[in-house]
Order: sequence, then structure tokens, then C-alpha cells
Amino acid sequence: MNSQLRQLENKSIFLLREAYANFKNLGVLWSIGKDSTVLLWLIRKAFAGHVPIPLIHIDTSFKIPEMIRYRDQLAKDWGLKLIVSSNTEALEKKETFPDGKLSRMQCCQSLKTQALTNVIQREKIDGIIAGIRSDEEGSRSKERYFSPRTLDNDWNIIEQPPEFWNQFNTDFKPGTHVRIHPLLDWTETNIWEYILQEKIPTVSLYYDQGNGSRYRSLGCYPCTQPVSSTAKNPAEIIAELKTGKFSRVAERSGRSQDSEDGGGLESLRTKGYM
Amino acid sequence: MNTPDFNVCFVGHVDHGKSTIVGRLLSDSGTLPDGKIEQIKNYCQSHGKKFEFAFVIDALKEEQRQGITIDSARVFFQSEKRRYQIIDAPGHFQFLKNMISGAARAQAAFLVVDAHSGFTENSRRHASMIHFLGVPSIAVLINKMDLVDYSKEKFQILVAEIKSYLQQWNIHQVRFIPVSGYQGDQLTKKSAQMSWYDGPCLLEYLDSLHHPFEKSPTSCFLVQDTYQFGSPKKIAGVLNTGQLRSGQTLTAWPANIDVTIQSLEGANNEVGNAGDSLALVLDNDLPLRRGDILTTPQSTEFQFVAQATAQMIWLKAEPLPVGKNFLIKCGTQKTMARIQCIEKLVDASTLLTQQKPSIDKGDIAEARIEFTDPIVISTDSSFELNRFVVVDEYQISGGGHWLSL
Repeated sequence: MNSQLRQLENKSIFLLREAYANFKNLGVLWSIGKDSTVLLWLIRKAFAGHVPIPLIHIDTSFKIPEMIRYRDQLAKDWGLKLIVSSNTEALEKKETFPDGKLSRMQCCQSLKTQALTNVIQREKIDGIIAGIRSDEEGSRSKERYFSPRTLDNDWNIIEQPPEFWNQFNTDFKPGTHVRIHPLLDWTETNIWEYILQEKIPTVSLYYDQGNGSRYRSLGCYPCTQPVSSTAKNPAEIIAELKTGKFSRVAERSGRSQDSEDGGGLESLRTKGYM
Repeated sequence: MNTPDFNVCFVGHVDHGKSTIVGRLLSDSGTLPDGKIEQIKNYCQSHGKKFEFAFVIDALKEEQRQGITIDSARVFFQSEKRRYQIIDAPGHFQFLKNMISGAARAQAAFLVVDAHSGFTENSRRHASMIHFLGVPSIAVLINKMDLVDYSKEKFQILVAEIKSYLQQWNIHQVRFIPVSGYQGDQLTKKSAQMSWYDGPCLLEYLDSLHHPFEKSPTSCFLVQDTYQFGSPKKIAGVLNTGQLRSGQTLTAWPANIDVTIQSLEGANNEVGNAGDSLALVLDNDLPLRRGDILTTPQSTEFQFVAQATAQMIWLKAEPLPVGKNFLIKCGTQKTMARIQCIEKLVDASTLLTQQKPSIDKGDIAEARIEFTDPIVISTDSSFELNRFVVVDEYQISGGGHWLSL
């Protein structure tokens, strides 16, 4: 095994086991994307082939249909406990960006963050495991592996507690919760190298199906654009990332919410976004 | 890319130019995505700010508003030799806990000192913290050489001053490199401005460093949990040092009973190496649990004790008094504990020994600590059981190493 991937895998499994040993009511955010699917694979490795933690999918109703088909198939094949959560109130009133009622950021805040807050409260979740990576975006580069959130689900980015020597903040005030980030040290290239090495099933939207385009990052279809690329499998994607056309283009360049307000993702994340 | 990542951190006083050096290094080495510099230039223009390379990593809005680094960022950087995770730590004393969080993961540290304003109190504090954390390699970057006309004399005077301070902490063998982050001198290539300097540039120096050697041949496995998802029961944990193979006999602490490994599961199912996350099946149905430790039999590096002397730091604004109860985490063990007495307390900036009834933020203290429940510790820094953190009010608030029993 590639020794860099081995180092990353060991660390992620260590973090997952620390989370499982220290929290009573964990949930894993599964966005159907490549990162959280790698996370799911690592969970199976950490727990002897089992997934003892429920998966949470925040369904905005604007996900690309292929994502939902893939989600339901994998949930069936691997016997996953899946909790699907939506902000049904906002969806019924059509208070969304695609319906023209909200800005992109307000829409993310409502359909994703609010739906996540609801499920955390309803299921009394004390630890949320999320597959974010530090190379994705500035505020994620400043994250802790175990990151406490306030009662209101906020991230106090200026006053984060310290974390060192493989010891983490696993103690928390009643009513608050902790975000756990086992993939913080992985890069986009590492994710694809691992998918290739482990032969992890991923949604077909990441691959060119013959029309010269594919998705590099997945989200809601009104706010996520495919990139022009003819990569048809993980090996071709890795070549593109390392030396090809994407070696100097940011991964989330197709995600519109990031560029609003000169730091859109950071603003969303301090209010509880993943 | 078949080598493990190498973690490097940049520490030093605020405004001595850490973020500028890192931003410039990323930019000059072609690591940044296309358009990133233009995007930052546009941002600066629309917010009435002067462009700075530091904004490449001072990504938080509050950081750009104040023009400082608040939290340690990790960014990746690929050299011809290997991949680096670069940790840019904040310089303000106020953000000491963020600096510690970043620097503790580093295999090498750069202490950045401004040639113009000199070796300040906070620079001294950072140097002592890096040493305390046990970062294996330390180098000093004398930055802003452009502001002192690239003067060899100025460089040499500072080097002598810093050397004598570091020697008092027993830090020897330190590389000093004159650089200018702002001008890009001596970062990715030798600078014509300083022909008097014959050492390596920053990047050459980095690529010359080796991963720290294998720490100890003694096997030490920390139990994180036991799983009974089916049969057989699995003991999950991390191998801190040494190797493990099936058939090998280990001693379980604190029960002091020998067990034999029937099989193991990890990145490699034949042999577990230091750093591996493993799940073991043992021949004995001993009721092991989180916090237990499996080691090579008859190893003398570990002790099961109810008190010990530690060198420790405190990171909270509110001081830690003698006698106050707190939680200690050491490996996967946990116990309540308190300080019996403070034996020695050194002010990191002045190096003066003080007498105080409590440990202040940023102090380095030697203290006698007693545990509510005995734990397994090691006074040998090769082992994870040599280090602990202190949890106070739900948060990690300090930490230290065991010096003696």
C-alpha cells in the first residue's frame, strides 16, 4: 500500500474509534459524494466490516436524481441505517433559491444547516462525523479533528480549544455537540488514490459518460456545475489532478455558494454548515 | 508520492512575517491554484488593503480584517522530494493554544525572527514552547533581511543572541537561514542579495530533513475499545511503538496478565507497525477495556503509579492553582488528578525561576501530580504514555510530560 495512504488511513481509523468510544449518540453525514463515501469505507474498516453509526443524509430535494438512486442502492447493499432529513417546512412553502425566494447562501442555510440542526435535536445527537478536508477551503483548513459547537450549533472560530498529542476534546457541555473530522489531512488526490486502491463504489456522476463532462464536486443541481473533462475512471481523474488540466484549478470552483460575500462558506460554517 | 507527509510549522512573534513566508513559498513554488493571487488582489483592492502574500493562508474573515493569523492553518505543499503539510501558527500570545495545536503535530519547526525588530519576548516564548512540545528539528529564519540591507553583521549578531538563549534550553544544532519573505529571498532558491551566506535555502533545508527514527523496539499498544459485533471479540487500538505479529505474547496492564495474539487486522494483517490502527483477537478472554495497555513482557519503561512529577504548561487565561481537581488524559487512560505542589516554575521569556501558588498561561512548570486512580505512565519520551493533557471545564487546557516517578 502507498505509505502516504496508509498513514492517512491509520489516522482516520484511530479518530473514528476515538469518536465511537467517547460519544453515545453519533451520526455520520453522508452527502453521497466521494469524500463521505470514503469515510463510510473507513468506518467499515474501523468496526470490523460493520457500520454501527447511523448515516444522515441532508436531502434538499434538489440533489441530482442519480445521487439518490446510488444512495438507496448502497444503503441496501451494505445494510446501512439511513436517516434522511429535509427542511420540509421551507420546501412546502417553496422558500428556496431555485424558487426565487432566497439567495444561494440563505438557501444553503435553510435547506442544509436548518435540516441538520433539526435532525441533531430530534435524534439527540452528541457527535457528528463529517468528511470535510482542510485543502477544500480556507475555513476548513483551520478546523480541529474534534470541533465543539455551541448550543445554537454555532462554530466559535476565534475561540477554538486546543488539540494536541493525539488527545481531543471529547468532553462537552450537555446540549452542545462536537463535529468530528477524520478526513482533515486528506487531499482531493488522496481521496481518488484511495478509491482506486480500495475499489470503492462511487456515483457515476464523477465520470465522463461520453459527452465530455463530469462533476468534480457534487451538490444541488441549481448551484453545482459540471466541468469539461473526459476522465472516465479514478485513474484518469488522478492524472488530471496531478499533472493535467485540474492540477491548478480549485476543486470547489463549480460550487456557487462559496464565492458569495467574499467568504461564503466560512459564513455558512460558523452558523452550523458542514 | 510514496512517502508519508512531513509536517512543518512556522512559529514566532506576530508581524515577524510567518504567513508572508508561507504564502510566498506556496506562490513561488507553483502550489496555488490559478487565479488565487488575482482573487486575493481583487479582494484587497475592494477592501482598501495593500496586497499581502499572507492573505493566501490568513483565510478567515476576521484574520484579514485584523491583518493577523488567528488559528493554525494546514496547507499542502509538494516539493520534488515529498509532500509537506505546512502549519502556519499564530504569533499573538492570546492565541497560544492555537499555536500549540498546530506546532504539536510538526516534525520540524521554523522560528521566524524579524531581523529589524529582533528576538522579542514572545519569540523566546515560542522557542521554549517548541522545545517543550518535543518538535524534533528546529531552525531559525531571520526574516526581513531586505529591511536591514541584507547585512551579514546584523544577521550574525542576532544568531549569537538567539543561540545563547536556545542553549539554556539545551537546544543545540540549530540551522539559521537569512530570508526575506516579502522579496522571496532564500526561500525556494539561493538569493544573489546574500552571497555571504553559504548554507541551504529554506526549501533545500526542508528537503534535507529526515523523518524521526523509529522510537523504540518495545511494543506498546493502547486499547481504544473492544468490539463484539460478532464473534470473536476484537481489541481495537493503536500501536504506539514496536511491532506486533500473530503468535506474539504481550503483557496486559494494569491486570499484569500475559496474552497471546491469535490474529490481527490492520493495513497489513501479517505485521503491525508503529502508528498502525489495529484490531487484535487474543487467546484469552481477559475483560480488557479502553485505557488498558499491551506491552512487550517484562518491559521496564512503564510504571503503574498513583503520582508522578511532570513538566507542564497551562493554556487558559485563568491560572491553575495547587489542589484544584482536573481530568488527565494519558494515552487512552483517564483519571481525575490534582497538583500537590509546584516544584519549579520558569518564566519562558526571562528564564527566571519563580515561586507561585498557581501556574499561569504560558508558564512552564515542574509539578508533583497525584491521581485519583493509578495510571500507567512512562518517563521515556519515546512513548505516548510519556505525555498527557489536562481537561478543565470540558476543554483541553494544558499538558505535559512525565519527568520522574
